[in-house]
Amino acid sequence: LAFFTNWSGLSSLIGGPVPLWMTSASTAASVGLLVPLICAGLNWRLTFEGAKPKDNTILRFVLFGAACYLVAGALGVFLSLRPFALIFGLTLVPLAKNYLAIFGFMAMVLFGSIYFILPRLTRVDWPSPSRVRLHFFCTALGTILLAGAFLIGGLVQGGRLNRPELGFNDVLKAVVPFIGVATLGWLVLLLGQVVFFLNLCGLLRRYAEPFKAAAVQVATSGRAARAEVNA
Amino acid sequence: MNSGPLLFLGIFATLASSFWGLVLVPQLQIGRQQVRPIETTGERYPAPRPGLAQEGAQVYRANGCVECHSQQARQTGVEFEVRLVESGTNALVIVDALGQLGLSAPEAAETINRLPARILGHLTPERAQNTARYLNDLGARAEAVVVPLGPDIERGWGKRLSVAQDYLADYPVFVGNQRLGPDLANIGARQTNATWHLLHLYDPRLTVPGSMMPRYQYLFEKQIRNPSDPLPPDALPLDDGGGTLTIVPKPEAEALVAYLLSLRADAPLFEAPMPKPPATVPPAGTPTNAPDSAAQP
Repeated sequence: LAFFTNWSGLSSLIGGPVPLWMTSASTAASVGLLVPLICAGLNWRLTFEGAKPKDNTILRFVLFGAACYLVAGALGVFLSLRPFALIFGLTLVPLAKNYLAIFGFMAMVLFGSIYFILPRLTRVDWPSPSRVRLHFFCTALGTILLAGAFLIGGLVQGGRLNRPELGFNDVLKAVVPFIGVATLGWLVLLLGQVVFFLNLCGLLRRYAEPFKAAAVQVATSGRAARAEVNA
Repeated sequence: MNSGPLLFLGIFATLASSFWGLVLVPQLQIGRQQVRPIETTGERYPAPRPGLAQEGAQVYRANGCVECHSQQARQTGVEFEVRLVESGTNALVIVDALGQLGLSAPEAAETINRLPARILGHLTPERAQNTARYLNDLGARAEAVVVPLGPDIERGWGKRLSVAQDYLADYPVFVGNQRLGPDLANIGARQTNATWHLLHLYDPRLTVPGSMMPRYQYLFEKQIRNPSDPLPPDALPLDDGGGTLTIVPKPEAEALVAYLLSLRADAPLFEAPMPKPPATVPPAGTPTNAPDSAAQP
C-alpha cells in the first residue's frame, strides 16, 4: 500500500501534458494496488464473520466504511487504466471516487469510532440511540446518492464527450439531472450531520451535569461559609 | 529485536522511490524546458503573455474557472495522410497516378482542381512517405502529414495534444480536472473576438444559447448616461431598450479576456506535430488574378 499508493498518484493526468512514462508508471502502480485491496477485503471478511450488524449500529458504520473503501479502490483502478481514463478522466467519475473515499470510508469509520470511544471516555451513554440510527441512515443514503449520481452522471458525461458530433450543450444537459440528485445527497448528508451534532451536544451536556452540580455546590457552600463568617 | 534502523531505511526507501520517480526524474526531464524557437516558423514559443493577460490569469484563478474548464487538449493517436499541394506541369500524369493510388477518375480530376487537397488517409508513416515521394517524382508537390486524432481534436478544442511546453508561461498551471465547460487550451485561436468573450462573460446565454455557465456580471459596471451622450468606446453592444443604460467592462473583465485570448496552443512542436493550416498555402493554378485583384480594394 505504502509503495503503490505513492506511485499511483499521476493516473489522473492520463492523456494530459506530461511524458507518457509517468502516467504509465502510475497505471502500473494502481493495478498493483489491487493486491492490498484484495488482502484487506479478505481480511475483513474473516474479521466480520459472525458479526450481526443489525443489532449493532457502530458495526454498521464500520461495515459501510469498509464496503466504500473497496468500491472506491476498485473505481480507482478502473480510472487508472488508460482507455477508461481517456474517456472518464475529466468527468464526474473521479469525484464520485473521492466522495466514496472521504464520506463513505473516512467519515463513516471515524463516526463509528466516535460512537464507540466517546461513551467509554465520558462514561455517559448516547442520549438517543434512534438519533444514532438516523445519523447512520442519513450519512449512508447521502453518500450513496452523491457518489451514485456522480458515478452514473460521469459515465454519461464521458460517453457523450467522446461523441464529437454532439454539441457541448447536449453533453451537459444529460448531466444536469445527476447534479440535481447529487445536491439532494448533500442535503441528506447535512441533515445527518445536524442530527449527529444534536446528539453530541446532548451527550456533552449529560457529561457536564455532575461538574455543574459540583460547581454550584462549591459556589453555594462558599456563600454559606461567608455568611457564617459574617455572622 | 533491534531492526529499527532497517525498518526505518526500508520505509524511507519505499516513500523515497516515488519521490525520485515522479518528482525528481520528471524535473530533470521536462523541468528545464525553456522558451525555444519553432523549427518551421522561427517564432519563439510560448510567447510571453502581455501584462494584462497575466493579470487576467489571476482573475481566472480567483473566479474558479479552472473548476469547470480544463486546459488540456488530448488526442488518442495520430494518422498519416498525403496531401497534394501542387499538381505540377503535367496534370494528366498526376491524375493517372492518383487513379493508381485508388482514387476513381472523377475523384482524381476533382482533387486536382481544388488543391491543396488530402488525397489519401489512414496510412502508416512509411506508406505515406513513399506515396508522397512517388508523386513528387512525377513532378507534383505532395507531402506526408501527421494528423492528430481524438474527440478533442474533432471538437476543435485543439489542433494537437497539449504538451508541457505549452504551459511554460503559466504559474500556477490551470490544467483542470473537470469538463463541465469546454476545454480552453486553444480558446484564443478558436474565438479571436474580444467583444464575443466580454458578452459571454456578461451573460453566456447571449452568445451560446442554452449554456450552463454562470453569469459574471460583477466584472462589469452599469452606467446611466444621457441618451444624447455618445456611447463609451468599451461599452457592450447590448440592446438596452431606453438607451440610458450602458454596460462597461471593469478592468478585471478586460484582463480576463486578454488572458483568454492569449490561450493558444497552436504551434507545431517536435513532440506534438500538427498539420499546417491549408489556408496559408496560396492556391495553385489560378489562371489569372486580374479579376480578383480588381474586386479587392
